[in-house]
Amino acid sequence: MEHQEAIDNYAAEGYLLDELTDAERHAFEEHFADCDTCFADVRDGLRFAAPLPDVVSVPVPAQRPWRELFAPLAAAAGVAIVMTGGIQQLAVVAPLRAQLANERAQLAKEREPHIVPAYTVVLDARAAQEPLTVNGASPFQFTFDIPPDLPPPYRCAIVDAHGKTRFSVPVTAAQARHTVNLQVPGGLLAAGNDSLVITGAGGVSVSPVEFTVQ
Amino acid sequence: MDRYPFDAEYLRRLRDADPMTVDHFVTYFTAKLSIKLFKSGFSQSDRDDIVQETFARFFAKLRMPDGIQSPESLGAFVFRTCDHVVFERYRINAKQDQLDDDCVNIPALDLNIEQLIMRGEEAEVVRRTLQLMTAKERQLLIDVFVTKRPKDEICREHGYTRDYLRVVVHRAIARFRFLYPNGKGKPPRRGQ
Repeated sequence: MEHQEAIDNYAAEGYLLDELTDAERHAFEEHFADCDTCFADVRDGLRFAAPLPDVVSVPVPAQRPWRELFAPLAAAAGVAIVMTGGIQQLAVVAPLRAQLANERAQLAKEREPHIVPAYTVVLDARAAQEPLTVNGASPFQFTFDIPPDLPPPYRCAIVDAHGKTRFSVPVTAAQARHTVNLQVPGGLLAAGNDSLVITGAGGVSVSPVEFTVQ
Repeated sequence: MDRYPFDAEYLRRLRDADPMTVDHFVTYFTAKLSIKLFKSGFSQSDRDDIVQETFARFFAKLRMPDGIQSPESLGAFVFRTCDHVVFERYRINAKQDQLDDDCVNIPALDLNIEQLIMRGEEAEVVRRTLQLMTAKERQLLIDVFVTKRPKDEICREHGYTRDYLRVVVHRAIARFRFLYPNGKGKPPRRGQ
């Protein structure tokens, strides 16, 4: 695919929208392999689209009804907005950016090295287990060894008291050769009694490890 | 257009394992292959594996006597190699993956706390940027990328053709890019 053809056909947007045929998609991918301009279009689109599902759970303020009801005034309002653009920049955008910078600084602090509680669990029904309680509001990790007699592929899951899977992650055979660390982000688990369940091929599982989330 | 000039000299340096050239090659194509694989829905760990396997095959082929001859099609060759790796991966996954229906599949085991925080941070920036867009643009992007409403339905509702949908999505993304903090945005191209 030539660059002009990609531009004329809005191929980057078609790619993002899954609107291209297989042949078009291959042609466009081979084009953006060499073309940084088209690659940037795709990358920026994905940069926007990828975190969007995390965003929509937070309600976005609806458009104000008066704009719907008094549409003829919208043009006049637009002129006023343009005229007051500088003020808006200072009064709205600048504080917004300052707030964002502040939040970023807080997040950067959270990304600094820090201690995460780690709980070593033994996946053996014969082993005596102390009652285990974790603080679900903060991140923590489970550390365990997958028994060598359990056939791959593996999957570790957190299951609640009603047997419902809270989440599940795969563990490759290569990862299972070493001690496995399962990191659980803070706030992911609600308070209650849960179990850590490790399964192998065909759903064969080792004895679950019960724990309490506070 | 900003097209990287792969030439015979580049290929020769790559074949001779010149460290700077190899480093450039790996960095350049890791970014592009990662985007392609992200679009295909692979997890981070799968993406890393596929990119590594693609490079391994590429360098093996490069060193063969009848290996890669035309530098101008280097990008296409790398992507085709990646397609082969992906195809094999699909076949393997189809045989292995049998999950419970109610199981929430978290695709990347290596999505660590730092990445989760970064994702949350990015989501917050996106949310604020969305608030600066018009309701129509915002709704269009949510319809297309989040709720994934049928595109025919979206087009019917707004009176767009399918081709024109690409145009309005392009404009909405360009506007998003323009409003995105830290001046990442540049004015929409193509005269919008």
